[in-house]
Amino acid sequence: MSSRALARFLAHGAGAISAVILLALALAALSAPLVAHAMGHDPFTPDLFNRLQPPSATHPLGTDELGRDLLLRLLYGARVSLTVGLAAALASAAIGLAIGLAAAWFGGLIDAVLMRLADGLIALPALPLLIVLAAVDPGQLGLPRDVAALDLIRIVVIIAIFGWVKVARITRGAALSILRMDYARAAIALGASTPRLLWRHVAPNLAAHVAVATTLTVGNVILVESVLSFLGLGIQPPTPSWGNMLANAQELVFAAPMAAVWPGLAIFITVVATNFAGDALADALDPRAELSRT
Amino acid sequence: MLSLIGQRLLQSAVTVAILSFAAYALIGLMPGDPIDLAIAGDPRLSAEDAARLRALHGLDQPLVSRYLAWAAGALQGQFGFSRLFAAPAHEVLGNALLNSLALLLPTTILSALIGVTLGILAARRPRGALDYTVNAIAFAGISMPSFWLGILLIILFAVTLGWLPAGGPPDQPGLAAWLTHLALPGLTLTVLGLASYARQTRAAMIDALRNLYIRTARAKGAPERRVILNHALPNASIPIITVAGLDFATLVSGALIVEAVFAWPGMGKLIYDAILGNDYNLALLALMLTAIVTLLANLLADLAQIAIDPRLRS
Repeated sequence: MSSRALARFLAHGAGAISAVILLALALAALSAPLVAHAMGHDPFTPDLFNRLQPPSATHPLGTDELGRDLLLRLLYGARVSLTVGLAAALASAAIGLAIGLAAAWFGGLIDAVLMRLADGLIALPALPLLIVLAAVDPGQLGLPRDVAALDLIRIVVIIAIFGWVKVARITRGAALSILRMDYARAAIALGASTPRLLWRHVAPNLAAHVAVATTLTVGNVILVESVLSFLGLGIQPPTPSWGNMLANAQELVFAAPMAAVWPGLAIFITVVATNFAGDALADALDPRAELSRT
Repeated sequence: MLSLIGQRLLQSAVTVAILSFAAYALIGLMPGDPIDLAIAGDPRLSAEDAARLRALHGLDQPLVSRYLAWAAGALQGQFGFSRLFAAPAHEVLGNALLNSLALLLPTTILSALIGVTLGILAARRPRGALDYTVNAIAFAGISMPSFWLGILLIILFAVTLGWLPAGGPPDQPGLAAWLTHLALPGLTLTVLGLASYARQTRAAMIDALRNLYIRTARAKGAPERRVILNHALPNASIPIITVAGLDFATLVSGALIVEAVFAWPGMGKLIYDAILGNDYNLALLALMLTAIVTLLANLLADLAQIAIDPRLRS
């Protein structure tokens, strides 16, 4: 990002605040083991003498139904939710970029097939298909079962299968118009190789669009992850994610209503912040925004 | 026009066929086939019994021929039995569909009416107080996990105030029981649904109101009401119809998350239970119905857009 774009981003009040919030969340997630050490609790070990405690000095947000500290589980949940959000958004962007560029560059049949595939994925009801994919038994595909890290990878893959469409469409549209520009045609005429043409001339001009779409996707992915985990198809306990914490809390909503408030609030704030940051990024990376504002 | 419809219908049929095979194959990849479950339920079953059962149900056949047998039956209107509910699949589906419609039909209409109205009001004075409010509601609506809003409403109305039940289907006959049980899931869906209508309407109306024909209409003295409803709204209606088309599809697919939060026995819950319970016939029937209605809804939305906007008729 150029310094002028950075200035525009920071001038966007809500965007700047959102970026600070997201940074703070990321830092909090990274520091979760340190906090756990400082507080002297382990967020994974049940402590049945301290079930469903109200907030106190030792447990700032209270404890869950197994006596585990809610604040710590929230912080560890942030690690999972933010990792999934970032990884799935980046994976979607990479697939989308590749498919969009392929469609724009090859055109013809390849373009038609790829874009109809994109239409089909958009038109179909996503949730039932996500459930089918999430319920597939990894054992029958020759993968190990019951590995915690596999949960994470699996959910990223599932979300990416559906997530690439937006970036692919944006990439294809932008790449088609760039390939028609004089500088791109000049590069072709001068005999630039295909990789060089796409990498040196097309990709840099796509970066802004793709960055914005990816930022907006992060929020969406965090929502999808929370939904899948809420339904019991995403991250499996005892690993906390904001979604499975909410599923847990709902069963105990009469005993401990506040336990259901915090994870949802964390999701809500994160998604709002990424949406604002995405909007601000769109303004910041669009040089015309400065002209139109004056 | 007719050839366009025919072409789209053909495309949709191909999509449904591909999807049905993909769904069939994927459900086959889930843990536990019916015979595994039978063995788990009755340990006295010997290996030979299991093999005989497998042959009886055709489970020893390769996937493709099993799929073809299922597809041939489905095309003749024979959808088979639901294993989970021990009843014909289409009967089980019918009940869930009615429950979903009872919840979703009123909320979809309400959220469309309220959302479009809010969007129009907001667009009349961009950056006014009302615009900021509508924008905030819309932004919150699309950023909020739907189950969280449902849980918050349960905490407020069921746990704290104790006014409404926390969920479940109506426990006694009569309109009052239905309404109290529908209130919280209905409120959740309406709030979330109106957000996208308000957002799309606001953006499209602000765009439409910038056009010169609006200035012309005002200059020749058309009342503001007429300018908004007759001149701007039709031109802003394309994205609204797109949202409505997507919404229409969820009438059949149900609202799984809200149904799960409020234990409402609708289509979403049915699809979820059928897929996870390895209930092939039921899951496939529900998935195919959802896919077909979704594709038809998209087609209808496209046709409605063509009917409204002559520029799309080329």
